[in-house]
Amino acid sequence: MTNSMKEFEDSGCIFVIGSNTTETHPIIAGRIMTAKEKGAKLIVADPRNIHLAEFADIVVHHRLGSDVALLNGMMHVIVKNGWHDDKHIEERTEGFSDLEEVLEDYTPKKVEAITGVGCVDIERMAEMYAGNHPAALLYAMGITQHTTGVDNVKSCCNLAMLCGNVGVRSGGVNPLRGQSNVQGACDMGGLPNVFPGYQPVADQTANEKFSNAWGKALPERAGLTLTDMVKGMGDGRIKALCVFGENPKLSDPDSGHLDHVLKKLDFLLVQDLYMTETAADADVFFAGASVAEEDGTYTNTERRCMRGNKAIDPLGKALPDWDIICRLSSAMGYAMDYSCPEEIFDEMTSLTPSYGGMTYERLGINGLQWPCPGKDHPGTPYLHKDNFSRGKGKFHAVKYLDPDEMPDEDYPFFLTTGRMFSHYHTGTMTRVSPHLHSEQKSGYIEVSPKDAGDMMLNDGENVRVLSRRGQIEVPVKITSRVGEGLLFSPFHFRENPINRLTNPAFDPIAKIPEFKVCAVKLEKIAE
Amino acid sequence: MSFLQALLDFMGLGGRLHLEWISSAEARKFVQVVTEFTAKIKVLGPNPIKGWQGPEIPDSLPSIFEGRALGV
Amino acid sequence: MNMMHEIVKEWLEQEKIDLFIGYKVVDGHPLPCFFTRENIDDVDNLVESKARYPLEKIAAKVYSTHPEMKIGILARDCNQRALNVLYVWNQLDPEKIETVGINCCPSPAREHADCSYLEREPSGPLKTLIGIENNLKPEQAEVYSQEERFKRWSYEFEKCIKCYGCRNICPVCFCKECSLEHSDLIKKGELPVEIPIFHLVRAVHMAGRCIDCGLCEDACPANIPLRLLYREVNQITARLFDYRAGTDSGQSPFSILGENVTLEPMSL
Repeated sequence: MTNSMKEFEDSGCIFVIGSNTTETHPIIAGRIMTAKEKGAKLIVADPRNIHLAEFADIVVHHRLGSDVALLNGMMHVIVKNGWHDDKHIEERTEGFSDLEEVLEDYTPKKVEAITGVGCVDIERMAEMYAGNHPAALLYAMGITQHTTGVDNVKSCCNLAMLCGNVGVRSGGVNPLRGQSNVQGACDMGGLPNVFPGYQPVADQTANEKFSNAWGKALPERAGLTLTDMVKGMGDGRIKALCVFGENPKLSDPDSGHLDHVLKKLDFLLVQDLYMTETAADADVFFAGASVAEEDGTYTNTERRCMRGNKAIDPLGKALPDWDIICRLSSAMGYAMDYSCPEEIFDEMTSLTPSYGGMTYERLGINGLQWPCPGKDHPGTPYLHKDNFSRGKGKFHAVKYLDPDEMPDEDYPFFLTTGRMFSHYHTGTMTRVSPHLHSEQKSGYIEVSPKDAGDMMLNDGENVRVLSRRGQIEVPVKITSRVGEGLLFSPFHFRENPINRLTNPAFDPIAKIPEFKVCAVKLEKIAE
Repeated sequence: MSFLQALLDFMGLGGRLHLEWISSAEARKFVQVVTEFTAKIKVLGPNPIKGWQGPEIPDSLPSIFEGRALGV
Repeated sequence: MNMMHEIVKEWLEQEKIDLFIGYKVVDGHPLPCFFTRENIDDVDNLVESKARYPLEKIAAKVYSTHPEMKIGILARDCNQRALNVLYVWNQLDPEKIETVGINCCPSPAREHADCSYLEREPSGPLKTLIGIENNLKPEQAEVYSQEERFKRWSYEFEKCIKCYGCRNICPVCFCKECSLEHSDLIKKGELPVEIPIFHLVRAVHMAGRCIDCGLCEDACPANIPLRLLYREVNQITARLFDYRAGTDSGQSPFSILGENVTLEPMSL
């Protein structure tokens, strides 16, 4: 997030696109409601009629995967009416004329044809977003999990820069991160192309710095993304796989294919809290410690690095994750003899400028938001105040592209996947909690009342769902949360593994799979 | 019962709950109570719980934020 | 070392208590903490703290597994009232509890309390227009017509994200099985929660128990005026049964189990 959660309470307008905020980021949803009560405008754009939409001034349900068209349409209206922030564009950005040229094409009428959102609504959204400064844009996986994920994100940035909403308090472009520490994992170089603090492995200075610090020549070539690894396992280039705290057998797209390639591996190592579906297939399983059993830090969605203190020692034979990795590395010939997480943290901050000013002592209970480059630096609540990291903010002229797979005669329904409020990801942790499990005990597929009526489906009845990749059976939930022709199913449930159906097509840059759009058909199961 | 009636009244569902002990021998009383309660509910109108479609967000609201004037 | 430290140390040393539940500052934040005889010097770190936690709820958990243990508690007025309710419902044994009192709730002699509830920000314009303002008195929420009351309360309930924070923080919620989680009573698996049943059920269960500490509303991430709702519950209870939870001794009028039945202590 460019900005901080608390700031949303003072936004003039909050634009939520591709995020079911009350269910997946409830505390941020609380901030949004407070802002709403204080007089902020709220726009919700989501293919489903989500809970947050009840509170919105404008709600639109755009067709799956049509985000670029919708955002371009809003920008078209803003530019046509001169509602954009000339001064901000002039002083802080470049590439505006390229964008302007592309936008010319995205008339409300054309956008209506692509997105299914009426011209009047597009104009109202544009006016509301541009007219209530500062406007915060919030998005989640509904924007990123597409073959056009990077384009979608760029369009969000375009819109925010166009109206002078970047580098201001209570504005910004705010991806709501999922896991408690996914921001931290990315910050620490948990990506194939960068060292901690997003220092590229291909950058010679950075590479030398880390090679010297770690006493080992480090590769200058980027590693593989998860999507590439699946391919690598398939063609035999990857022979061993280590999986830490992830359950790809349920969470990866086209899981039938993944099952197949996992079997080709010579060696699979899984480290997790519980014996997951993936762990059950492992040659070696390491029991990791839980949040209550290990010390360390978490960096949350607002870039705030906070300490987590263990309450008890690890139970049984479990070990803290850092300890397991150190022992594994040492056994493989590279000695890691850290005595505690703080020692690792101090080494990291000495090599990572954005964390440079942080120490365990300074983090205290509230933590610090990066960039925090110096010992006296107070941390940074919102980014890009005076400058972008690259200097000027660049507008990217982005054209709309269809999702990889669209419904057709054979597979007439759109299917989108996501989460529901009481479960988390593959249910590894939430389905063993009696309270959370009792909230929702099995998977389901949301079907509109019209489609259910046409197919004579009853609420709770099992239905067969088929895509080009596989088929599953799952109970029907009839609800007006989805419109005609649209289906939704959460992916938390091993009995109804919806990712057997999803499309593994991925974004060419980020390599993120298109979890949010695929084409399926429904079949009533004969009694 | 009185407690629940008072609480429902506080939440805007007043008059919609009634308890009466009627013996199987008191047919006349049964008819009278049901008729009266039905008439009362008809006056109160349809159940608002079923009619609840979410909050009505007003179009204009005094905002504490200073909106940027749009150069229309 | 102050008076409070001396008392607690003395009690621990003289075996008047085996455990003291108070607050200790950890990384700049006061957190509930156990003080014991084995670690008696730690008592010097005991603070009164402005933060509030239901310490008596922690005591009840300890009691459920260690009924022989004598427990000391740092008690504000609200903690004391909650303790009284827990005694009435047989969740704690008054013989096993010693308190160090701190006066804090507002009274004619003392207009402002220390608890965070009183520092609440004023409501925004939308809440004034279609919701229920948190700082109203129950009478003030009765100026609206029946139809409007329902709409205003439903707006507030619509915001609920079903975190169960109100129940979990509540010092007098101790049932082993909670009606709020019963699928025959309340529809599960969806947001918003079933309106108004979810909040109505909780309100009913607060009757004869709620001690108006306001922790539920402090904990609520959706800022629902729960304290106001339960204050009305208390007023109805006082009007109909002449019973005030936490101050009146004797069994609650809502205790259908009668005087002599002991609820099983809840498990952890």
